[in-house]
Amino acid sequence: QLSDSDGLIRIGYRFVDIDGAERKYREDLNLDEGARLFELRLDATDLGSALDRATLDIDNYGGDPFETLRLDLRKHGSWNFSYQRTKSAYFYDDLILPVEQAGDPALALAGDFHTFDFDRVRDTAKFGLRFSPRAKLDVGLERWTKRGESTTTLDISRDEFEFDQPIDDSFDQLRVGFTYDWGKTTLVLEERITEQEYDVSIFLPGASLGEDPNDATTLDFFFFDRPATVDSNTHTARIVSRPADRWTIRAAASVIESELDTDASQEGRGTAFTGQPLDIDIEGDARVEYDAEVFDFDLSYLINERLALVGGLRRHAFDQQGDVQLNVDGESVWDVETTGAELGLEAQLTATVTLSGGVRYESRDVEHAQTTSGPLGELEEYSTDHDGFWTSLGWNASKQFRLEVTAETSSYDDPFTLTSPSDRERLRLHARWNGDQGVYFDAIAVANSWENDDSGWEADTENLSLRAGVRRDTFDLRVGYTMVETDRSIDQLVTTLPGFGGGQTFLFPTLYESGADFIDLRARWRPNDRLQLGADALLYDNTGSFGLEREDLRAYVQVGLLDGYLVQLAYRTVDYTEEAQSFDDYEAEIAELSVGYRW
Amino acid sequence: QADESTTPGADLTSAAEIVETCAGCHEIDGPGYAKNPHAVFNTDAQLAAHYGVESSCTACHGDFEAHVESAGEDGTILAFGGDDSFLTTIEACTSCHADAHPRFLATGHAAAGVACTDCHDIHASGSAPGLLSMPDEGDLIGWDQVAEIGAASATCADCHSAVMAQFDFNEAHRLREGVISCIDCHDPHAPQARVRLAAFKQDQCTTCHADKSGPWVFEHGAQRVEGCGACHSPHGSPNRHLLAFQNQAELCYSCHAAVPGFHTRFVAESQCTNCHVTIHGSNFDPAFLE
Repeated sequence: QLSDSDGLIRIGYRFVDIDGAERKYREDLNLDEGARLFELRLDATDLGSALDRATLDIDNYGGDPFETLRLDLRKHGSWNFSYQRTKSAYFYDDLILPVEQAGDPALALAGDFHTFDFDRVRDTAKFGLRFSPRAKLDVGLERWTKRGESTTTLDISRDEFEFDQPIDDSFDQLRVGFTYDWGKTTLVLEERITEQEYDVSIFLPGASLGEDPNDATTLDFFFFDRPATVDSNTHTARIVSRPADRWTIRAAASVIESELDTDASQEGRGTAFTGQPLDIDIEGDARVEYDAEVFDFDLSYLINERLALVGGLRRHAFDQQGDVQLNVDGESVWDVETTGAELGLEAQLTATVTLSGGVRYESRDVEHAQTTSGPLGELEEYSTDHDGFWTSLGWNASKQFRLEVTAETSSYDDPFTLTSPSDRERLRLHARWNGDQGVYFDAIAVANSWENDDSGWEADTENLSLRAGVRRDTFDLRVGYTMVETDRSIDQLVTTLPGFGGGQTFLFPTLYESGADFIDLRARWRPNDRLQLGADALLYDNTGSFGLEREDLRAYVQVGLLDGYLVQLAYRTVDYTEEAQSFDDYEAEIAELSVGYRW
Repeated sequence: QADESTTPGADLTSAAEIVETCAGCHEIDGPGYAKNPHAVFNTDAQLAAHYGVESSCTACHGDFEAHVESAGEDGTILAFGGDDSFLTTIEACTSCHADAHPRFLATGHAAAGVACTDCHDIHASGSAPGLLSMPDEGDLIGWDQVAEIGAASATCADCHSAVMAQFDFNEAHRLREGVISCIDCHDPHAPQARVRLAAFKQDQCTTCHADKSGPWVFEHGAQRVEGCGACHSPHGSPNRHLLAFQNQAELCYSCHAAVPGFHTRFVAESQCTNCHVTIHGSNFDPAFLE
């Protein structure tokens, strides 16, 4: 008996008309025509002595690329159960270059031979049972699948061939946690068992001359099977203690063991680049094991009502070994050890001003070696030290206005890659004014900069967001402007390795620029209890290395009928254009007619 | 104002009596609060025993005697606002919720003076998980922001609109479509430093992208040590596959300053992954060719 529930169900039909590059539309929106359950909402309370609340949310069921279902049942303080299912479909078939240019042998590799069309489905179930005031059991199950079609390429005898690669991946995880509470101290023990399976096979859909028809290499058939499994176990113990008022201490340790196994076989027949018959028939296997240890310690101490001390200590160790016997007799080792510490103070300086600041330190040692023939050589060592400082200032100038400034700076010695930062700075300002009668203004400015002193790498991102809105009983209007400016540059002097064409250097200058402007508008008007009108606009303009424009306009009208029934008509148009070429451009019109019932 | 029958001095022994006293002046038992877990706990003797407090208004707001005696004068009770320190607010909440969020004081949120009640409405009646104080959409439906992106993301967007806009890039994680939410990747109650530690930086991503997690005999070192962010912009990007560059060769040459000699014959627009097909890692080829 639902003694107190409210909800909504809305079903209908979507009409879709696409003009232009349908494959690009599939990458972006992928909405198809057909009948749909657009939304189902249920919120029920007072369900009897065993259940306090039940909620159910379903969105876009019946063939949409993104479907979600969330169920939550709970008896406060006794038990809870939740289940979530999300399905998302992904499509990619990007020419990058027009067909006539992609066919040019000089630009053959500038096209992208990879395509995919797959569904990712994720099911998550969680159950928590407090079987005594002090003890609780948590069980979680997660299943994740990725299935569909894709294409990839392989270099066979100095030519590229395009292969079919069906996708059939799965991930299953069981998590069991036990919590016991002594009042001031809580202990959590948790076990995670994970199994991953990848049924990977690559095959030629038919005989092929390869991407370069002028060379001798051909393939009559080719199979490459490499199914893999990964089994992982994670053991975690965690203690949270409040030994005295104002003190909180947390210590956690996890040990992770993971093992990958794969058996592989390759078979192929054709002609090699020398003109001689090509005969591939090899089998082998690969195995990778790693152990990881993770230790975290955190403390916070409220010195008084206006000052707190926070700190943390972390240590991670990762040891991995792998070996393979197929066309190579290979072996590899990765050891990564990281130790980090943080210490900070947070203060309520006055009734209106907060100030915090702290320091970070991190030391990282990486050891790595790999071989494809013979014994493993000496380990290469990379050590990086990181010092950082952060501060944040908040000012509640009045009940209506708040200003917040956050700054971070970091310095890294000997960064790992040529684009890893040796220096990083971040500044963020946020101001908000909440006026009377639902009026607000909000402004955020963020500047990030990274640079690598050794390589000359520089990257900057500037982000500005300005928003305003007004909300009254019958209408809601919000408008915003966002700017995202990104620059990345490096003048890379590239050296060619010894061998064919070796011993040369050439400059590869890189300057990536992206300037994105977004203008969004959202309006809702409800002139009376039976009528709702809404409109959204999102205008997106990207300039720089990849220029494009997109207009996304939406509007809907909803009319309430008698006894909770309603009818809704919605319309959306999307206009996408790229600056350099027009082969990806499309216009889409989407209309949805739906009926619903609200209770 | 409290009348004489509920002034201090009365022998208040139950949570219900305390609530009744407060209700003399404050609207605390509207149609919503009765659904709130905090209200439910008021009547749950087992929970009251567990947390060691007589669960009622005073469990969070503190002793109310001075407040009642002064006829509700400001500063006589913890009001979670006004002159109250954000640290006091956090302490009041974590005195019961320490198990769930023991490290909240060490987060960037706390450092910026953000307290629990800035994101959570502890008196709320809505069905939003965790009593999130998402923007209230009332009865509006259709292409509503909250319905689309979920309560958690809507709450984050209230302060992080600059980040939210990045999901409007032509390539973006499907947050707008409701498939993921901010808290699938970010834990707002945990320090950020942990996820930045080497060898584990990709863990946030491989929760969903498990097929990119390996382990592999031949790892792409940038991914193993620096994480997925070495090549990808996770929120959104104008570029394919959320890459940091539209031109793939520019991305790869940013790090790789030494290549085999025959690479000089490739044009600058070349797709490196047409040959290096297993760029995230390979069990068979150190150059990620298969």
